[in-house]
Amino acid sequence: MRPERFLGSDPTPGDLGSVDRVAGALRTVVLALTESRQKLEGLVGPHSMWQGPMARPIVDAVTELAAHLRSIEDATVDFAQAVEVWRTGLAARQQRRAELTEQVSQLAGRPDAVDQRQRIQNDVQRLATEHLADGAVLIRAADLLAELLIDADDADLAADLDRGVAAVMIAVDEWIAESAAELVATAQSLSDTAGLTTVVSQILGVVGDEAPDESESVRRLASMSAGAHRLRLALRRSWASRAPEDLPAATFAASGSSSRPAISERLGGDSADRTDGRAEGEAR
Amino acid sequence: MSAAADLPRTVPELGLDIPPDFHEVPLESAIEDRVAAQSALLEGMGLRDSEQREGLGLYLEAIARTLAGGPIVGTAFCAVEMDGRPSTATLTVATRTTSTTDPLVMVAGAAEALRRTGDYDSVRIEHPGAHNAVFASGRGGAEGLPLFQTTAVVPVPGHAMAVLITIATPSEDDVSTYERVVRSVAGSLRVVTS
Repeated sequence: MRPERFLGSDPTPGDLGSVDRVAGALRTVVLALTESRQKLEGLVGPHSMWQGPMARPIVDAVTELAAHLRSIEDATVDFAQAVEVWRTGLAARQQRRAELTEQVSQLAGRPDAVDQRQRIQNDVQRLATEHLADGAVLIRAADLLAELLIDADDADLAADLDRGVAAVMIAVDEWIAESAAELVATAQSLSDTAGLTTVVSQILGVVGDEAPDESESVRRLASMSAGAHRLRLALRRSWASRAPEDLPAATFAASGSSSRPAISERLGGDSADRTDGRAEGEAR
Repeated sequence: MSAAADLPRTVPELGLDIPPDFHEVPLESAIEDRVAAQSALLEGMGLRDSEQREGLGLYLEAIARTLAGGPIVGTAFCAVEMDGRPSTATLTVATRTTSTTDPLVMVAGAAEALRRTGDYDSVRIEHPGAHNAVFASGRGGAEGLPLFQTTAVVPVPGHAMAVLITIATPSEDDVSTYERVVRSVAGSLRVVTS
């Protein structure tokens, strides 16, 4: 039943389906904003790689960007809530409009129902006024969101971020030029030492059926030994047959002893002279 | 001029938690201490075969002499039973001074430097404990047994220094377990006194 035909005009224009689509779109936008903000916060959080003084400008810029997103997210939530309030009011008013339209239609052909028609017209007028007022609230909420979006000028943020990243890249390049070669050489020493230490497990018979002296570095090590001949003999044989019958079950507990590991004892402190020294008894 | 020239040269005392499954190769600088530690290690391993004891004793001493004067702080091995089969790995630690105290520059630079070598299948920055560290994994042992290795580069907080830790195993099936171990060891690094 068309309200315009009985009421003269539609006091509560609006399409609930369209409002629902807007509300759905707003929910999607809020979720996307939340997800983006959380990713940004995680990017520079306490467990991120952005630690230390060089990271500070980047962390500050990204944190500020996350705060911007948070304010847009909050404003969008506020607008979504205004849309929800509008929808609730619209549905109620359109229900009331249908009732009034039905009542007016029942009065058709009754010239004696002037008072009843007037009461209905008054109700229609109140309904239209309420509709306009609620519409104004919705428009104000939309304006607030629009103003926030217009004011969101991230140009300085982008420049700060750019400067921060450029500074880090320059510092990293300088670090690589100054320190990378020594670091890579140390990593290579660790790899070589791992190969040498693995031979211990071969002598224990725990791994490998082959004789341990296949490696040139092991042969070189043996040649420097005080008991070079006996060691070379030991390294030329397979120890697989001497493997222990029982091995302890692996635990890999972080700390199984109250005493400090020897490696830890040699880390720093009095070990400062260690790299310049040699084991006692070693030929120079 | 290098920024390194302005950096404090104090060497901090550091702490690192090594699982007790690992037996450290004695690297004591005093020969009597070293020999005593070697004997204790052979006893602890329960070796009864005299040839095996002699071979291992000579080899442990040879390693100590080879590593003396270099950047290696310590090296250790484990020989354990895992999932009903024997498994072995080595854990080796070194320190290296660098040209910055900034942890971001150090980890980003170390990661890039290790990537550029092309020696590693993966290089990543992780947060194993209180600090970030670089973890580089790949195959090593060009000669001898092929080894699966992961090297952690951990900046020492507040110092122009990194601790490098390499875990290596010939057991491909146990790689993920040992990667967890090296992550745990790297995460345990702490400055005891500055």
